[in-house]
Amino acid sequence: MPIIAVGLVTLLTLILGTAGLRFARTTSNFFVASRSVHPAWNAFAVCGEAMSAASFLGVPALILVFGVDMLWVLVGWTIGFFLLSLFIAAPIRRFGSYTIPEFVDGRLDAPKLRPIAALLVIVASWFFLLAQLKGAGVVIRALIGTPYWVGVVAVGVLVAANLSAGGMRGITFVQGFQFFFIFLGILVPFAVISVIWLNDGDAFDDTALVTNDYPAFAAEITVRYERTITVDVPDATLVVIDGLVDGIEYDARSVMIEAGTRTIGAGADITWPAGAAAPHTASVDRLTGAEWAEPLGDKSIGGGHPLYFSVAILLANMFGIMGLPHIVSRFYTNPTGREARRTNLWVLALLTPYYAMVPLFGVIGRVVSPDLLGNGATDSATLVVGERLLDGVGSDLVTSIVAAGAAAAFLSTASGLLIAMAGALSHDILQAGVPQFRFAVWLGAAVSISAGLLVESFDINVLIGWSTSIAASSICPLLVLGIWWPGLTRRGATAAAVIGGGASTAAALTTMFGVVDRGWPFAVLATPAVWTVPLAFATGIGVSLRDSDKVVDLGHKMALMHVPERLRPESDGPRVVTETTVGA
Amino acid sequence: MIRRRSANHRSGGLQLLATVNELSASLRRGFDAESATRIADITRQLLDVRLVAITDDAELIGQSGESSRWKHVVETHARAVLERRRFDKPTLFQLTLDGEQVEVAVAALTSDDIPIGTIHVVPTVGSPLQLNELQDLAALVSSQLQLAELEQSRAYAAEAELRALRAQISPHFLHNSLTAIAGLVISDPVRARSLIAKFSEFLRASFKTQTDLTTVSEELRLVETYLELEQVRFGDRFEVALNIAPETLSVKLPFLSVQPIVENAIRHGLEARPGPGKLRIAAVDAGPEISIEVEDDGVGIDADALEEALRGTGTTSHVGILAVDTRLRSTFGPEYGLTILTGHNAGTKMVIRLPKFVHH
Repeated sequence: MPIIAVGLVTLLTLILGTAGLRFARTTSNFFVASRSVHPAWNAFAVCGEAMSAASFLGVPALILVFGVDMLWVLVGWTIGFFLLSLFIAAPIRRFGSYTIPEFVDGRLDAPKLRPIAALLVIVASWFFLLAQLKGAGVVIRALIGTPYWVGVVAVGVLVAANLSAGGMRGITFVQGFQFFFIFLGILVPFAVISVIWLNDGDAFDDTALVTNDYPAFAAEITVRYERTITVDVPDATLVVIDGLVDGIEYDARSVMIEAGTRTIGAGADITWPAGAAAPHTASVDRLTGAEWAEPLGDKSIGGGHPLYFSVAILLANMFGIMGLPHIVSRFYTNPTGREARRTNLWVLALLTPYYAMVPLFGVIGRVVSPDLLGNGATDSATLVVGERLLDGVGSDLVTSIVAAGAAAAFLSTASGLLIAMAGALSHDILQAGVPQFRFAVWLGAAVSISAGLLVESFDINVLIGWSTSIAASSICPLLVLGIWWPGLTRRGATAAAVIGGGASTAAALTTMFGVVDRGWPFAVLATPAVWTVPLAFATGIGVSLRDSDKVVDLGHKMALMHVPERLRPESDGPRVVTETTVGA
Repeated sequence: MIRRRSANHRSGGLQLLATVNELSASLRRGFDAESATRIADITRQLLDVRLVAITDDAELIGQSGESSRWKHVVETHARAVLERRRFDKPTLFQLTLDGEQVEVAVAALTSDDIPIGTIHVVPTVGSPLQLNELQDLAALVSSQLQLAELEQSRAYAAEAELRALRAQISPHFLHNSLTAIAGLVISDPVRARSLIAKFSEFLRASFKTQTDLTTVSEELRLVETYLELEQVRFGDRFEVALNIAPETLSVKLPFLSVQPIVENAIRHGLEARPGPGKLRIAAVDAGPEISIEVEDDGVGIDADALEEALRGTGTTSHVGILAVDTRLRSTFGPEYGLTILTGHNAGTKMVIRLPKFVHH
């Protein structure tokens, strides 16, 4: 049943994308068809874009494993959208640029900077897209048990085919509808869980959250290990193993698994008895409920520097949101800067309850599904919770609604990202038209799918973290300085983009290939925003101040961004057409 | 000028070429303080002299080299040269500069034999002044100035041509609308009144200046008004379908870009067709671009007439289409023209591509 729900969302996406334009048959409907979209509907579309696999699947996973420190991710995003409202949305809409490279070129008269900005857009979007594909792989596997690569390839190809066939011609409508699926996908299970929690205290032990106990299995459970994984088993336990453990093949046999580090082979099933302490991935700390619930506690996150880590993810996420190309482009659909800001107000109003509900899945997931701590499938926490708490039709129904939401989340965001990437490649680097856009869509999809197959072992939000770090340290400074500081010069912007973007990308790749894995070097490279964001801003300002080659026609450009449309001298103001009925 | 170069410059013929090139480039921007200072710098380097000053027809506007308090002297010399109208060779003056007796040569800069400025050169101590070189250089600068002026007038000409192609409402349409409204004045005065209001709103759009851009949304309203007026005459002879992606609504385009295409579809496609026809207008989002498509299932356009219209040679009635094509290209660049797909009795589809962002 859940896979039918996913299919339904996909089908609806395809249909709406192709046929979902405003339609009118008589001239009297022309007026309606050519009227701009209400800010609320635009906000639905922005939310459809913003609510991705990262928040739907990634954040609950982070909270489940690492604890409350991870709430900073959500706080960062919320602040990011608020800052976007204050500083970016209206001026960039008034300026009229659709893509970030267009803005940079237009603001600085720097055609040479356009490909550099386009490259940053591509890199930041790429990491973000990998996370969506990872989410697709995880969700499809959890629903129908196919290998991880099936979901990645299927969703990647589907999105690319849809885009190259012109299937996102009315993207505002498609993403608006997807938003409702995403929101329901969180709201419905949230309501169900809340009702169970309030009415049936036995369904799960809510006191298990903040105790000095380690996570344990409440009932006997058979856990599937999809990929080879190294776990720490806390206590020697009598289990049933069907598969490979520490190089020995067991054939559904009862075995005493010893405490310590064990390597479990891909495809193994292990049945753990009720009450057994849950094993956990060897690379993360085993936390008691109390430790888990304590912010800035003695944890290994951020290489053992949780304060640095918290500041870093907060900065990366708040500044990253301001610079994420697929989000910024969505404001173009608003007719004026004022409307763009009103849209963003709606976005905040819709995102806030969503972000407030999402952590619950991590919290409850830790109690009802501690197996996720040890089988490397943390990113499916959101999907699993309903299944564990309910049975029969109720379970199927809730899981279907969640699955539909997850599918809408990664489909809409993957489409938006691929549009941003393909647009940057065809429009800003190749400076070409629609055929090249199609080529760019397929190229972007091919590269992303290939890489998506390799990132199974990375948490969704690790990938998102890199993407936001890169956006925060390169695109965000370009936008903020470009909009608010007249002194930015071509050389300053280039230096900021190259140094900020280069440093954060290098840091991401260094961590991706596991060059360092502990201590300060790890903290500084895995979450680089603390130093790369100020570095980029300082470089941009410093180089611009020393640069004698200032941008000309600056007053006009600043006025274009900051003077509201209705105050512009060339504007005719609102048109009033009076029609009075004679003789009535 | 190249014949007698001083020793330290003899090596780089290429460098010299580059310098002359730079001189041309800075002059192309026009004759102002910035380019004058640049010319002075280059002249001092080329002629290997101590001081160079450039004036326009009255004042010192650029200089190069260590100097003080000679603005007044320069301007006096300039006036003398310009008043005496001695432009064929440099005039020599003696003056005391920083307590030192020096010689200064002044050559006139002209454009079309009209004096527009002077160039003043004080040689380095001990090296004689090369008057021929100075005159050659003045001639080079003059010819570059003339080129710049030519470029300017070419831009004016282009603008004038564009103005001639300005958005126009076709006289056919004016006549037809007024006749249609006249027919309604007695039978349906309410509708007639509303149509006159729409008609005047439509006319208002044609008063906009050429450089003004409108939005797709506004242009569609104009098309709506137009169609309403046309339907008075046509009644149910054609059916309209509209497909608009909201992302396209705020995209900017020149006034009256879509309406002439719609008019063309009605006048040359649907009007000539026996029986009722269909008109489809779509605005589609394509990432950084959009496209607007106008499609009819009428009789199609004769390929030869169309080619003539697009080349601008024929006196055909498709001239409105030509104007749209030209205005789109001149606004957004050569790649953003009008695409026409048509065949005999196979209908016509016209597509406009528009970028979402226009560099200001």
